[in-house]
Amino acid sequence: MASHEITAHNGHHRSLPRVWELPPQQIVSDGLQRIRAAGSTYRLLLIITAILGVVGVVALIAGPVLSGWGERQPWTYVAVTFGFLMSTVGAAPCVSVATRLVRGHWRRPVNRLAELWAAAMIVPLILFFLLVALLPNTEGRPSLWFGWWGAPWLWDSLMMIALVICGYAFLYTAARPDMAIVRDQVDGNLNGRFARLARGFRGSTQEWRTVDRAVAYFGALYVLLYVGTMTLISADFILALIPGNNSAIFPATYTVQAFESGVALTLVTAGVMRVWGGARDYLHKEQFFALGKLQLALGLLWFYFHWTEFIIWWYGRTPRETALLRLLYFDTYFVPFAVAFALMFLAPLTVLLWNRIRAGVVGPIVVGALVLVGQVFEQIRLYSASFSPNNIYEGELTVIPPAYVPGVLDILILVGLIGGAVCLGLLALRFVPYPSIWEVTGGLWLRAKKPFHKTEVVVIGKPD
Amino acid sequence: MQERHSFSDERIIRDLLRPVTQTSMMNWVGFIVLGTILTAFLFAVAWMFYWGIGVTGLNRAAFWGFMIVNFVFWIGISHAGVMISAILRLTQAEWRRPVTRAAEVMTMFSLMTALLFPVIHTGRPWRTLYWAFPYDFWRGIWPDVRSALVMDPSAIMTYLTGTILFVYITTIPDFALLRDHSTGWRHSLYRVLALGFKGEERQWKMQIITGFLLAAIMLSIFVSVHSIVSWDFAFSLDPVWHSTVWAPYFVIGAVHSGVSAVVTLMALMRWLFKFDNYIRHEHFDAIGRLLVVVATTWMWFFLLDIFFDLWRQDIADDAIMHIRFFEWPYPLLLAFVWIFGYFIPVPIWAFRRFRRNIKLMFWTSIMVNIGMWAERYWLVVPGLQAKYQWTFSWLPYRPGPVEITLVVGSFALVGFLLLLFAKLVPPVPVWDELEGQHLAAEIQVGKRTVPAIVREF
Repeated sequence: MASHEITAHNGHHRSLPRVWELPPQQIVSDGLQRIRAAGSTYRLLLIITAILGVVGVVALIAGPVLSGWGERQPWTYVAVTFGFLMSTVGAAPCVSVATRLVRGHWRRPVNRLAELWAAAMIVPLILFFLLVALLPNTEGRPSLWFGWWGAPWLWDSLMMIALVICGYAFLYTAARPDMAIVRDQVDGNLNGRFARLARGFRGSTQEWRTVDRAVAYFGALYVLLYVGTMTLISADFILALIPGNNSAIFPATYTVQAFESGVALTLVTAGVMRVWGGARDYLHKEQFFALGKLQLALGLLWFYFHWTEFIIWWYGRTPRETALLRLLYFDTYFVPFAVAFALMFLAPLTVLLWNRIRAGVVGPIVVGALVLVGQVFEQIRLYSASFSPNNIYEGELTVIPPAYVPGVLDILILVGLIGGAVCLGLLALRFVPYPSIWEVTGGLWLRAKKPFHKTEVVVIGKPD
Repeated sequence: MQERHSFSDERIIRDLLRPVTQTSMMNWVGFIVLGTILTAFLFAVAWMFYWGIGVTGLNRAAFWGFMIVNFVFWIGISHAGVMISAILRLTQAEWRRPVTRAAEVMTMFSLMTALLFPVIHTGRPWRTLYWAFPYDFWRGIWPDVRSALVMDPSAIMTYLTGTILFVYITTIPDFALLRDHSTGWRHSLYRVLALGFKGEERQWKMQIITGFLLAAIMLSIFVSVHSIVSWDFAFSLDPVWHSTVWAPYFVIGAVHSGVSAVVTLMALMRWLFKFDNYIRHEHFDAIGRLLVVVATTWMWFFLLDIFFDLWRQDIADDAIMHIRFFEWPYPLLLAFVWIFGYFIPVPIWAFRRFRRNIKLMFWTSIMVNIGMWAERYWLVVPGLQAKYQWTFSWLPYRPGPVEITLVVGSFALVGFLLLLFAKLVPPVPVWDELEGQHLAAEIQVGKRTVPAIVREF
């Protein structure tokens, strides 16, 4: 049984997640289980995603790499994959940071799932280095750099490297106490591996204080770097490559829709872990309800940001704006836009608006999956549009380029490299315990059942 | 660490009704000072109506000046109510309880004040009736319904109506309480306003559900209002105004200034009404953390706006950016925006110790609103000065004494109305505070006793 009924103070019967009833030993044993032995489903998934990753690399070499860096268009789907991964695996750790900031207790079993994706950031980093060579000099064209030395290559690269390092640091700092727990509970090779990873963590007051601060600082820094990096990527890889596109809101739109996908990825990961990962006790309606609310809010923001861009161009009606509307919204890339609109806005709105669905497990997971598909189409729309114009030095689009239709290699690159990133995320599970033992047990201490008038309620400790 | 005290219901009611039942010397001073400024405000309005808009510093190129800046500013302040009340209510943030009423009421009064300014700005307000009743029926001249200038009053009126409803619904239990604690004309007034509220289970249920529903509806209105205000500018092809980022940029700026204004109000209420036990350090701490996020997001949008204005490399854009960066007094205003709006307050708010220092929070919140007023001026006024190549006058805009009086008077107006409201309705919701007290608990973690709350599903 995953939960039992409890009466809330307002008289409603709600189910109390079993995670808050578990003894700490059970949480430790669950965390160790996935480290000690990989299940058959896990192995199968790992093999499939590894094969996909290899296929992706082969397609990448056979296609764009062999065609060289002279033209941008063959690289379109590499950019799509890069954009998708940045918007999903890159955004997921931000979900963890945000929930830590608001100090929600429901987050404790979810945080680790979101942070784990930082491990996959090496894939977009490699793709970035392949793509950044395609960017032309900023001389003679509008850009964010105004003649800065080394721009855009050097500064974009530095931001990307800093982001990835910070992501790994955040993941490692948040996982270090758990690595120490694993070290103390296992023997042999595993003990040696985790002793090295835990780096002598013993759980002294000073060490805990350092962990708290380091997690907070690395988390905050990660979000700042992420927003900065997404701003640069959206400006240099999309806006600057479409003549006449100087939409100031676009970096914000690109970042907000990435946050939406970060929540979606966390939801889907939580769903997979609940169904196949044996984490049913940890991922309960409480977590899906809270993440579902976030998903709904960010879906609405997706619409708001797109609408504000659209309405300004619509009212402006200058030739420059009309061309952009035709390229990005109406004619050339209408289909990807419509799909993204349906999956990233309509789906969260129409499904998650209903409390009953949002309070369930299936609804938020399905919407999360739909948002991820929508994000693929959104990236296709943006990068196909930005990698197609031939002359990026003209003031506005005089000739609207035809839609870029992907070939087999493009699809293989997209699916394969996403598979490769998932493979890295899965591999990280062998090094970082799930659930986060120290956070979930910490949550246990701060929850208690107390009598309240004629009933019994759950009380939550708020230490600060 | 929380500093929650456990008081009896009677003590809470007595403390929180004090501003309604007693009038302190400071209250009288407030009424007199604000009333005097308000008189000057009314005189300035009358003066302008009599002599015409020529008594202001507005000229043919820059015909949107102090009054429109002030309109945008007060609309911004009005966003505090929904930000604090609706979002925190929906997310069940416990620290919202003592600040919701003040924030909602400030929304209401600042919206009313904001609405005054475009009307005053017409110079001949009675002629605004032509918007609804065109003077030229036979020529079919109607206002362009697609114009943001038509959407704007509709959005603001909807927001105002919603806010009044929201304030009223959330005040009904307190009206009932006041009815039971008053005599004479007050008793009659509160009896009508309480709508027969007796505290029955069904009545509480309806009150809470209505509050939640209104909060959810208000959220969409809240975003739309300042977006539409930004579109008053951005729908035009005016260089630097015609920007896609203005809607969310205005909204986040509004939240920044509005939430800061709530901090100002919290500190004033604590000092004026002796609410030390209810508006506590932990509330300033929580709102300070929120402000760090809001301010940083605002700064990001601010930078996006500047960078993309420069990105265009268009002659007209560059001319206005030149005014903004290099022509007096705009560089000074920009410095105010940066220093007061971000670089002084945010590093201070980053530290827990400072977030719990009420004087520091008060002064930094004032600073933010000085910065945010300057920001609106920096955004709006230069936009018109170099709009046309052939303009009637190249003279820069200089506000006259009338406009300055109007701006100062608007602050007095909002302050006066807030003081007056506090004489009729408790500025901290009594029922909300009582509920919070009942939901408060403690748990034992090791050797420590930790404050806790009953989980609200």
